[in-house]
Amino acid sequence: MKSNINIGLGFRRDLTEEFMSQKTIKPGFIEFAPENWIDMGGYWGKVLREIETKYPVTCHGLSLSLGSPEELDWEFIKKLKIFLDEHHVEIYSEHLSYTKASNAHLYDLLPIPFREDAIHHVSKRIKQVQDYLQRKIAIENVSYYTSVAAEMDEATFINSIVEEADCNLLLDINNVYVNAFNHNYDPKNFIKKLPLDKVAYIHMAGHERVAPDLIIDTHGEAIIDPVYELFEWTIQRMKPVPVLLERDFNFPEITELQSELTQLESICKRHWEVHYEIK
Amino acid sequence: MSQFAKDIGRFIMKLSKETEAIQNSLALYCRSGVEPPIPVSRPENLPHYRRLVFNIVLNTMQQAFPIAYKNIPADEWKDLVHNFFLKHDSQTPQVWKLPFEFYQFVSQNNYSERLKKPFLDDLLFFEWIEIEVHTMPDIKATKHKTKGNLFTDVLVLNPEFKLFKLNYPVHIHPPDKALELHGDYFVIAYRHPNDLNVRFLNLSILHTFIIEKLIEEEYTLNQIVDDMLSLFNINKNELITNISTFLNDLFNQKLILGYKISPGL
Repeated sequence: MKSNINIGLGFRRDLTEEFMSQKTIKPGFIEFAPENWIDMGGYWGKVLREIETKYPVTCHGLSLSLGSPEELDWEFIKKLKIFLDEHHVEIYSEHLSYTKASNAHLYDLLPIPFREDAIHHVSKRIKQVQDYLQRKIAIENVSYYTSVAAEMDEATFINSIVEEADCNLLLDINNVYVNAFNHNYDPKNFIKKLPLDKVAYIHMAGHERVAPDLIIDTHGEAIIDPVYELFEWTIQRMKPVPVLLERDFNFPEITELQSELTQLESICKRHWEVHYEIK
Repeated sequence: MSQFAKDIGRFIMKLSKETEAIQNSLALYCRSGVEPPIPVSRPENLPHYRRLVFNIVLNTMQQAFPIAYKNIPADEWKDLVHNFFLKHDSQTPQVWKLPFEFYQFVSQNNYSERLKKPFLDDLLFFEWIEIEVHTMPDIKATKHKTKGNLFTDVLVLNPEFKLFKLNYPVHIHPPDKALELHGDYFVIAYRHPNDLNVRFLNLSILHTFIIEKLIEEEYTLNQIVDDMLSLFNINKNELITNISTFLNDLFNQKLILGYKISPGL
């Protein structure tokens, strides 16, 4: 990526035409879920090849299941490495969660117990994957709706893994907001405890409040002001990294998505242009 | 965490049986609804995990099998997907490939009989094949030229295809109509090289025989005709007329791409 200010958008097939034409929306980069594209030829394979000539690409994994009690799926990891290399992927990130247990994939993010043995287990797996991929992974703090058999707080859990695995962190600001709301803690205090020097990537998204005391991380709404504020507060405490807007469904007019990108960009410029020379 | 604890942990680096059991019981809860015997901070939110996980599978199947979904009552469809998710250990890390596992589960467990939908296996297979052919990795065709002799040159088939047999013609008729037409239906699905969309062609037994020979890319049409005359009791002139029409149609439809160029040329 050429600039210090990079605001990207997750690629969604519903928006293919807009991404291709670059008339109504022009993100600085795009993000793919490799699981949705590995082994894919034909029309969508062609789209992928065309789109990567227009944008820098990052990848955000869904099914590596780093926190799983299961063995790592090396057959999949081999395909992943080929995909990341072939498509010149600049950043590869995955979730600090598990999606497979008892020999079955579940295709959604389950919370890992915040426990010491889990720290060592997950760290070992991250290191194994990093060694094979020959690149660092950025692991994402996930939203969770209940903690499970926790023996420590979330920040300690994340910090320990980032340190032990020597990996990067994908800081999802919306997830911090969601978790702080759901589990009644202060999001800024939480962020202060994180290794911000290890943040390689930021995710921003909208969410849905489904009950007075519960928010679900849906990626189906616009980013709300308190999340923008938390974002602005956070980026003043760290070096510039790429920032991604996630929107998975319930797509608004494309101009509204562009407005969100523009708003993120202006916040970044406000702080990162002042303190960091733009390359 | 103390440095000593970290060092010991790094040395051991194994997930405890207890943590593993906790993780497995949460995953099992998502599939079965059986309350996990584990300490959670907000138990009232557990059903959201079950809902979110199941919705991904339900939506994936609905998108993959729109015709089957419309032809099975909504509650039966939901039960079917529920049973699949509970009883089948999903193996693919790529959720878009899961519909194939769903098709296998349904056909291996005789759900077509249980739901009194005899066409169900064929319909799911047919809908899956459209996805499979549409998304299959690109395959480079054998080197070929566009001009040649239909009878003496080896023909080159578009390699992006699946040849299969159905018992109900769900590729031609709506399921209720197909139900009345039980038989042997040979079908080829292929990806058109121009627009990359999937086309289906219904084939007679003779035409299926020809396609199977063409797949081998070793025989000229003259050789194939000789084979057919030795196997079937057919009039040679009628056969040649029939085959010529058929193959010219396949050329027009881009299922045959051209004439093989011999290695070294």
